[in-house]
Amino acid sequence: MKRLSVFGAWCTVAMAVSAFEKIALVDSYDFARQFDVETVTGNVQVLEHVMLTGCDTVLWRNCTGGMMRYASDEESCRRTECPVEKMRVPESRRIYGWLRLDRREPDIFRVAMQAAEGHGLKKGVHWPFEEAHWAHFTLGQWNIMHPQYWCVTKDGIPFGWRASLAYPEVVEHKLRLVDELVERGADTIFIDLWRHGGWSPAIEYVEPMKRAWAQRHPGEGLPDYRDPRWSSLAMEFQHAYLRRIRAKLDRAGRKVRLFLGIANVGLPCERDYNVVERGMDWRRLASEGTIDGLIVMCVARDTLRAKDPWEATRRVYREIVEHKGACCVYFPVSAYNYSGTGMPAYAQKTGLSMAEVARRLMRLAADCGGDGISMECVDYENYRPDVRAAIRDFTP
Amino acid sequence: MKTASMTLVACTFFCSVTARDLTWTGAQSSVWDLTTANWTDNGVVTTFTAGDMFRPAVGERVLCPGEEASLSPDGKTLLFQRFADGRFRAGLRNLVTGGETWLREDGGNALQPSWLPDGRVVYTWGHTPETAFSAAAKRADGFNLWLWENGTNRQLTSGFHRDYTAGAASDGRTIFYATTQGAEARERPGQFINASYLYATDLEGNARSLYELPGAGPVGIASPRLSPNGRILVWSEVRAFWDTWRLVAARPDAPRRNVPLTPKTMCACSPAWSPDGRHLAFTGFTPGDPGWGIYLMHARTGAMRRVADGRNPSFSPDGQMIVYDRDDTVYARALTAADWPAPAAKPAEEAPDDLADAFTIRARIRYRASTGLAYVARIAYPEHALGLQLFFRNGLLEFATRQTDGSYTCVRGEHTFKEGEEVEIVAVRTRTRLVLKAGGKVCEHANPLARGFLSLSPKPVKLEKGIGFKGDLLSFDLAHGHTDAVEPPLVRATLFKEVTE
Repeated sequence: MKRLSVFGAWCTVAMAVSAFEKIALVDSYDFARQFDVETVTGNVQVLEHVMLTGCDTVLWRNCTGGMMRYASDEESCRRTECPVEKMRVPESRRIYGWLRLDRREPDIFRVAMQAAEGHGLKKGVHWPFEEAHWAHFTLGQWNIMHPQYWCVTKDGIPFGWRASLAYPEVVEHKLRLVDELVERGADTIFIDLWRHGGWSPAIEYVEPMKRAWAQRHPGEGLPDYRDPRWSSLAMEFQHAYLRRIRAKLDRAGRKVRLFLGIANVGLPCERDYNVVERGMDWRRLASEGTIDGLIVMCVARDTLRAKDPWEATRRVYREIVEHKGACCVYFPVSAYNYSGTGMPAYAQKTGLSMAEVARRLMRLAADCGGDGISMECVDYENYRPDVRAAIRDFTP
Repeated sequence: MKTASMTLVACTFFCSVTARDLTWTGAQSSVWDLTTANWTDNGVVTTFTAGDMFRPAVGERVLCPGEEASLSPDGKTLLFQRFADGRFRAGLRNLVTGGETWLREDGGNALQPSWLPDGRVVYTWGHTPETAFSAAAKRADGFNLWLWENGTNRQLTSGFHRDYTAGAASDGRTIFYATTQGAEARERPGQFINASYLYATDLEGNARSLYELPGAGPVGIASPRLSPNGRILVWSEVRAFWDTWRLVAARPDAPRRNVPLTPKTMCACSPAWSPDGRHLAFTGFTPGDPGWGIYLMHARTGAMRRVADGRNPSFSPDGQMIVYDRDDTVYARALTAADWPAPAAKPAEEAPDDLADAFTIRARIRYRASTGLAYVARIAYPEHALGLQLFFRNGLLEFATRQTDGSYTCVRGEHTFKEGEEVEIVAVRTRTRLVLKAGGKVCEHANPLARGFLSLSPKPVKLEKGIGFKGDLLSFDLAHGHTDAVEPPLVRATLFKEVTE
């Protein structure tokens, strides 16, 4: 029996490697001026445009900050339209500022999942870790209505942009959202730490954390958030949250993968951005089998400062593969360049065309033992036709 | 399980009934009931048709399903909004008969209704059935202010933006409100436009801007409310991504010169003046509270007390009762002597800004356009290499500082520079705010610096001038200290002294 399951696991890994999964992260909001993304037709158009990259998986953005992009019962969507909720400052850009992506009909998230399945794609959700995307109009309604769970700074200032996972009620709320996503057809739940909305252990001075600290370190005052003991305490709550999701997905009745997005990789563990700033030790989560996949959103900037950025990138990729355990790993072929390490940064550093950069990054990913690539994010024409062709045509 | 079943009952209730279906089966509802003389300390379990879903706390009485409620000037009618028929509707409830009337019967959302002294009502209404893609082509109305008078509705403001949280002056002639009017024009590539501003209009719809926070946001104001004597305007304001809502006060003729009334450790919004103008009720939250609460504050000194769980308070006309909502239900509660916060011996103020620890840049430039970043000056301190930066970004002047942990804070100027123009620039950074004055326009960013005050040594380690700047730097001076060219921050005691003199 054991031998059989090992064989099964081997088959799964082998198939994944041979498939060399090309994952497209999709944010339909970004297409709002090209297509009518509040309609079925508009979302099908978005998907068809994304498919020009040759992707075989789409991870569809399910939210704007804390607001779900479907009629979420958990989020009480009747208040998402500004100014119905006066505690949310409205967004005023043309079209973007008036989008209602949470209408009950059509349920555009369900539409996207069904359309992807219809095209034979794997499909899932790109769920940023954040609850506000650096703007006030992105605050979720559950968050607004539950200030008692908000994060707090050491100075006692409430941070209304995020609820703390140290509260069981917050975890339960998020698990109910997972139910909604899975019910709508998501087969991958991808939690993206790169989009963090300002969260760090610096705003975790909430009662459950303070109580846990007092128990572990009696008589000691609250530490600075950079104290490794404080960060690791925060990490326990973060990890517990992911383990709860894992357990829930295991009971879903079908295979639903849990992915984690990590950023700025390439630094030693004790300085790892994901560990120190985001409170997630991806090495541990991978080795214990909590996550099925790691999506590397970007490498650390130092990688691009090296004399030979390709060799530096190769070193980073190999280090990740070494620690990935049984989980799959996907390396970035990213048109986004907020990190300063996307495709444009490689092109600028090396003088190569974007298409050639894409080819080299994919070759590196395959050679280093990666299970595929991720494209962050496929917007309207930000992957130009020659780049799309390069990605489409690539085989490891 | 109990919670789940109660939720189910609530859902069924709200989904299936209209206002006319409501049956008041609790204590007789009358004006007499709502006077404090007949008030009991025991909560009354009040039932509507769906059963005993409303369980008021001690001293509370259920008025009806809804929110954003307030009593009419004569105390006989309750104004409220309610989620019904799949949208928000504003209505009037006769407290004698229990009869209800909607302000309008057409579609859309009717929001945040507020009384005028003569019994008319101002509210926000918007109806956007089309998708944003379609609506943008039409450029129709967005959410605008409407005036209700004896069953008829008249549009006060118009335009494809959002006018909301209106409140009338006690003379009934001026309506103060929050709006996104003009925000769209601030769009820059790749940036959200996440801002709302303070406006006022007369009853003919002649609107004017009173106060616009600089930048594309997140900055916003909501719920402006003028004191009964007309001397202090209070509103809620959020000034940055890391910031939280706070109550802010100013003279109505000088709203830019304002002072926070609530501390940084509290989220506060939806203010309402007591009829005597001495107190404010507002929605507040301080870490450790069980949730949103109704706070009463002695306005002049800042002493405050949490008196109930709920949001959106308003006072009864006699000032002896507050009306508020919780879980889509409107409650009323008589105020006892113990509820009113005693005036503090000394007004609560922010930690005083040490003006001696400020930094002031004075520069005179002749402007020449350049693309990208063009530095007037970049100043390194031991704590951070980018301690102070004064620069043009795509033609707009900005003044920025870095905290020791690298956090970035910036204020963007609003002066439009013309080619060859000579302009005097004053930039001041204190521990709590950045001020940029150029071409006579003053912009300020009162950053909460949530991670702690920024500390810079008095002496810089490096001063670079004119990097990438194509214009002429005619004069430049950097000083450690404040300047009279920029007014110091207003404090509560000064504001209240000014308005009582």
